[in-house]
Amino acid sequence: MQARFARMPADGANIQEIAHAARSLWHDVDAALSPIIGQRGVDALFKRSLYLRHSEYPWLASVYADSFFRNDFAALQTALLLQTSATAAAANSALLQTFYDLLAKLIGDSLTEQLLRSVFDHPYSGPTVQEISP
Amino acid sequence: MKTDKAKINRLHTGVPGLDEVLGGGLPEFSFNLIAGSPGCGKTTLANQIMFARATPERSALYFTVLGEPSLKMLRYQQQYDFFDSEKVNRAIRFVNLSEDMATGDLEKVLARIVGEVETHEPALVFVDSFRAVVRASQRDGGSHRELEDFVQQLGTLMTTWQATTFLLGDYSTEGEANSNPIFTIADGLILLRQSVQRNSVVRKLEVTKMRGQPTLAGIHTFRITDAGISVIAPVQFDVPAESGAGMPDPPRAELGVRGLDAMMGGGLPRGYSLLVAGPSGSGKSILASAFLAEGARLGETGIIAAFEQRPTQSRGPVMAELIESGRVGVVNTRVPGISIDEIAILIIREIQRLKATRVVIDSLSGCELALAPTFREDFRESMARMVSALASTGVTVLMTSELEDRYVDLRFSPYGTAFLTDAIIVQRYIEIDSHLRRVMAVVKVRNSAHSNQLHLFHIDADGIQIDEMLINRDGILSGQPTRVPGLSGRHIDADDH
Repeated sequence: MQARFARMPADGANIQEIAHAARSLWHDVDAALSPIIGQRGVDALFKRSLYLRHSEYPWLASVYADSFFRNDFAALQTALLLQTSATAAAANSALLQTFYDLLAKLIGDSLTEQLLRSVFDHPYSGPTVQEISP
Repeated sequence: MKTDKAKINRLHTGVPGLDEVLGGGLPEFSFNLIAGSPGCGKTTLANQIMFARATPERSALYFTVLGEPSLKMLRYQQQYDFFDSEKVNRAIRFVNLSEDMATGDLEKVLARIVGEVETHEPALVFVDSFRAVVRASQRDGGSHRELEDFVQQLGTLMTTWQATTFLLGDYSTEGEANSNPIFTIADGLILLRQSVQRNSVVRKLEVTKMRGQPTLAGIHTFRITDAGISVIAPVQFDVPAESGAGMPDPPRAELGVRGLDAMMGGGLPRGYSLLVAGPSGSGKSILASAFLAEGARLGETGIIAAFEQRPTQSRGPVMAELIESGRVGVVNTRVPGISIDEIAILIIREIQRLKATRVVIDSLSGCELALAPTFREDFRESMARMVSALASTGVTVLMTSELEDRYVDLRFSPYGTAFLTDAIIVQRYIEIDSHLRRVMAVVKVRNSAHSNQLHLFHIDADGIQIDEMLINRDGILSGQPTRVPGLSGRHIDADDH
């Protein structure tokens, strides 16, 4: 899976734009899901995604620690700003993919796609339906 | 003066059997409570109704309040066939109220519900679970009065917004259910419970209240399968017109045993139920098979509800072929927690599917054993209902009944079910010259002349063969007949009556 988000550097986006887009995208994910599964449900999935990806991107550990309480994704944006454009885009793309996979494992691909369709139709979103591995 | 009354539409629930129990469906804009102990199927029932009814034009709002975390609910509910992901966010919106509820402020919760209802104008609203609302309110020092106000407001609001509403709640005791003010406010009250007797668990549903319409009183069983919930509503039937003096004799159904039809006065009148009673191994099932095979020979289809034997393998090649070719349908009775009502529904469904004219229930003894213990107490009443229901379809029924041979009295059924049937054939073992022989007699054929003779019979590769009448013996029913001096037995022909 190669997320469209990961292509942002190649499209000429700088790190500020990438970090901002990442935070904005997570807000959209939150807005789409928290009315349905609750704020706590979204927080728990986000933290689990951070945990699963922090061995690959150790600096995500600080986001994990910071997001113990209500997460507005500011900690993620801050951490991304300290990375190169390529690393930040790749890390956020991986994080989105993990989040999507976790949710799909719980409620199925079909419903996950249904709930996140509006978010992932965004030009800089993470996985598209076609890109999701079975 | 205008006299037009408000018309209450009844909504089909999409839950098999529930509309019948509700008296035709759910009243539109009603405020309902689905209550029961944890795990009894409240959330499944609510989701099933919602997915059946919701459309983008007449959408549903499902408020989840912990309780069951929404993620888990979505995970498990989508295992059911009725769950359609495509409807989510189009026709159905799940709204999580757990954070609002955490504050314990019912005003805030109500405001949130109002906001969502105003935005989406749903036709259906669900609040799952209401128990969580009660707990949250009480934890934060809320009074009973406050809760009552909340429910009252919610009920009024939903009705004025023209939404049919369901509150789901965990209530473990009926005392609690009856004393809670919410139950007074609700228009409809559906109680779910799980009845445990020995190691058998049966799910039961009761509609204790449904304003403005007659519901089917009583406790009804329901099942949860991959398809969701199905309620076993009692079989509804019209009482068939009585045949009596002056009525033409009904046509007869041949039994497929040479000589036996003559003993019956020309076969079994169609639409009758026949009880074949006898001890183990006396040939009841063979007679039942002959009855179905004869029907098939005449171009009729039949149904068999078999409880002891494996119907396809143990009844010989003829029956196996009839089942294989679809001329005899088999009702699967190997279902845990089954009731007579459910068996009746399964049989009637098969009768309609195959346009069957003959039904065999083999045997009542096995049937009783197959029932969940909770249904055994009402065996006779349920059997009476089933026999009447089957009779209302016009089929001819043959039931077998295991009868322990007692030579001190003449009995036909251990259940007192003999009175239910229009005709009775009894089979017994007797001892003659140190041999165990079988005898058969027609005991009763309602409104019809019949033979009262006891006939020996034997079973060979072609089935039951009626032999001579025992005219030279006394005390046959004692099991040990004695020879009457000076008389000899004679062989009878089928028409020899």
